[in-house]
Amino acid sequence: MLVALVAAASWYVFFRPRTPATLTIDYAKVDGTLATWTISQRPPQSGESAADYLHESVLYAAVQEVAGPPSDVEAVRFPPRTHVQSVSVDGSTATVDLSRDVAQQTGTFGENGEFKALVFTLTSIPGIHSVQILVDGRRVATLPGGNFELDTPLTRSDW
Amino acid sequence: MSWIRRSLAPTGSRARIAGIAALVLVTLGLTAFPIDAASAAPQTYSAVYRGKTLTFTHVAWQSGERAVGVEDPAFGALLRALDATLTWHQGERNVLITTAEPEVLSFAVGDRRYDVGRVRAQARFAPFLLDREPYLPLNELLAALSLVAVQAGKTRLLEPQITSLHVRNRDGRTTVDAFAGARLSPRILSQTAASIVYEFDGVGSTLTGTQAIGEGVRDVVIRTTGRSQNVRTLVTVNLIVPSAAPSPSGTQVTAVDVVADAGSFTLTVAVSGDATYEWHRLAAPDNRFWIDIDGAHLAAPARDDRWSGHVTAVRVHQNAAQSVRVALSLAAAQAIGVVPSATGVRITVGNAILGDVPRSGNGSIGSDVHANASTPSPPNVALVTPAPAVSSEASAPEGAPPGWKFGTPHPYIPTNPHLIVIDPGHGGSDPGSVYHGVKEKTVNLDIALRLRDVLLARGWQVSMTRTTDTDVVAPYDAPRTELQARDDVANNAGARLFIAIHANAFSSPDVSGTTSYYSKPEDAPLARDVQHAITNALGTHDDGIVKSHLYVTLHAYMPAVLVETAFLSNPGDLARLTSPTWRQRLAEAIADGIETYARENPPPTPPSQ
Repeated sequence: MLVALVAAASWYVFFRPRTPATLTIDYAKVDGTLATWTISQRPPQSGESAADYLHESVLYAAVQEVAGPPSDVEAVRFPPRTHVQSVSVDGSTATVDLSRDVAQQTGTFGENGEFKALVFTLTSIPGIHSVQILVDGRRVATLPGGNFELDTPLTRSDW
Repeated sequence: MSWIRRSLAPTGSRARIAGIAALVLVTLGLTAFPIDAASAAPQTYSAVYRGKTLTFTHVAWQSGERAVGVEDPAFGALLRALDATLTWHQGERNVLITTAEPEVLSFAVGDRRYDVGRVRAQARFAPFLLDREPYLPLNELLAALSLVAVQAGKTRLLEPQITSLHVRNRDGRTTVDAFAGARLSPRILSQTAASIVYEFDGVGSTLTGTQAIGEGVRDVVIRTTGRSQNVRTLVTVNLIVPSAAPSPSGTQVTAVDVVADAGSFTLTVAVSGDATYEWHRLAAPDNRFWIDIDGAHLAAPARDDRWSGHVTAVRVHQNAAQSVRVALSLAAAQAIGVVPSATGVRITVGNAILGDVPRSGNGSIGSDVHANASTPSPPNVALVTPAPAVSSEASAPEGAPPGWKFGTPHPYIPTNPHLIVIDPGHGGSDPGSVYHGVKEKTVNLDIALRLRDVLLARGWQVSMTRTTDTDVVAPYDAPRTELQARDDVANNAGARLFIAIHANAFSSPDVSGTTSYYSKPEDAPLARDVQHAITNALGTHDDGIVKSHLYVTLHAYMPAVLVETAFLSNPGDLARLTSPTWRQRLAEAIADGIETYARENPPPTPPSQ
């Protein structure tokens, strides 16, 4: 009896049909276009609120985006060691706090590609329409010596 | 290019069957010997990574295996040593680790599945919370970080395993990127024209055997020897040696000979046939010199030699399909003589240290040399041609209305339709990008001053945001203050156009070209005309016009463009940007673009009173 029960439970755990949840990650290629990757995202757990699941999705997508594609993929990447310190979601705006390493920018080409890819990635998540960037917890007009304005939430129409 | 990578445990049907069997056995065992799912009894786990002992104190047991807490200080130290970052906050279910490679490792509390990059795997047990701290399965965590625990006597070592290797041989230069959690720095054991042997000391490898990977590489042989403390991995890179195919013209570089003594250094490049050459040198402290022999193929062996004395390195390689580059690294800004002949070119590095050294030159090798013998090589020009005297900058006309403070007036009507404001990007305390000693702010200013003179000569009024190497407001002021001040020059003067001059840069030297950035719809025609004029006249790679969220173009009331003229980080573009002749042509091309726009887009006139 017990073995039958365990077998049934095992079938449910391992073979029950699932709808795979995915996230779309955009990377800026050096020719200025975006490359899109799809990664798996765990489906919401029972009891997990929609807000918590959205938060986890935004965090996972932002971390994947800032990490960039594997090294063999030629892409516009955030400066070395740049990482996501935290994310939050307020209405349809996702706020991403980046470590201060992001300030080691080299030019408009990099700035434009990095932030475009991050905004396109996060706004592909249902419910997110704009992205506010923070640097080390603070809102900034631009990065030091940079050209890209970060003061206000960014949307896809900014590109 | 391609990589080889590890594979993780399969999650297919075999894994499912194994999982079912394990679950059945565990369930049967639990019914016979009930135990706590996770033991909270404090444990420690000590291991040595790269000579440093790490003692994990946030250790718990689950299903007979260790789990480690993400707030464990030793775990944090290990991640720092691996150049990895942890993303987790109290209350979050996901634990994310970004490795140096980069790969994102993703664990979730309550879920046995975990991700390493885009590969999904299954752990023996799911991460769990203990005192609100996530605990991760240690074995899977170490494997995901490319580490394996090996016992060496009484010591447990965390041995890095090469899990990702990329080899590239381009333009005669071989690069190896290897990761074992952290990025590895190999030592070259031996090197010939056909192969290079790299040693990774203290590192094992999950990759073995002969692999066909990488651009310009025949194959790579990976071999791990020794155990525990003595482990090392040797990677032999067998290169594709280019055949000495002659160029269409048949011209070849047949030999490169060096004669060095205490007083001088002479390098003779033997060239069979006709060719042209162009040389450049970079300012101190970079002190590099290179000469490209165009229309020739390298028939002599490529070189990458280290020297001592005036010259510290010599490199000879096929730089492009029909161009051979000879590059010298100099100890200081020594005088260099370049003397072409019918049979090649001789480069002499002397003792004299020069202040304002010449930066570039060109000429011919072969039969043309005799024809031009009566014409000495022109004196080489300095990096930055002295700027024209500042005398004729137009300012806002008297009585101009005060600048708008909030929002862009629509439609924008310039109070001075003859005025163009030029903004040389950066300046003073902000150098912009710096490559090989060349500062973006210097190049931007030189181009802007040249553009000013061209426009003035064509009858325009011009106002500059800066005419010297200075901040517009104050050194080290806030970005908003500095950038808004530049816009204010144009907004307050009621100018017709705003033109920002910049030089681009990127982490990869392969990216080159010109881009004109704009923000507002009314900017686009101006960006298009300027971009078209530059790329048509100068032949730079056309990276197009790009809409972006740039401060100075957003906050200028009038049509505005930010021209990224070329890439300081690209050797070809750098040579262009350091050529005064090229910068002058660039300024004229920008002016052509502005005038095309102005002709086709007359400014709106104010409605009659």
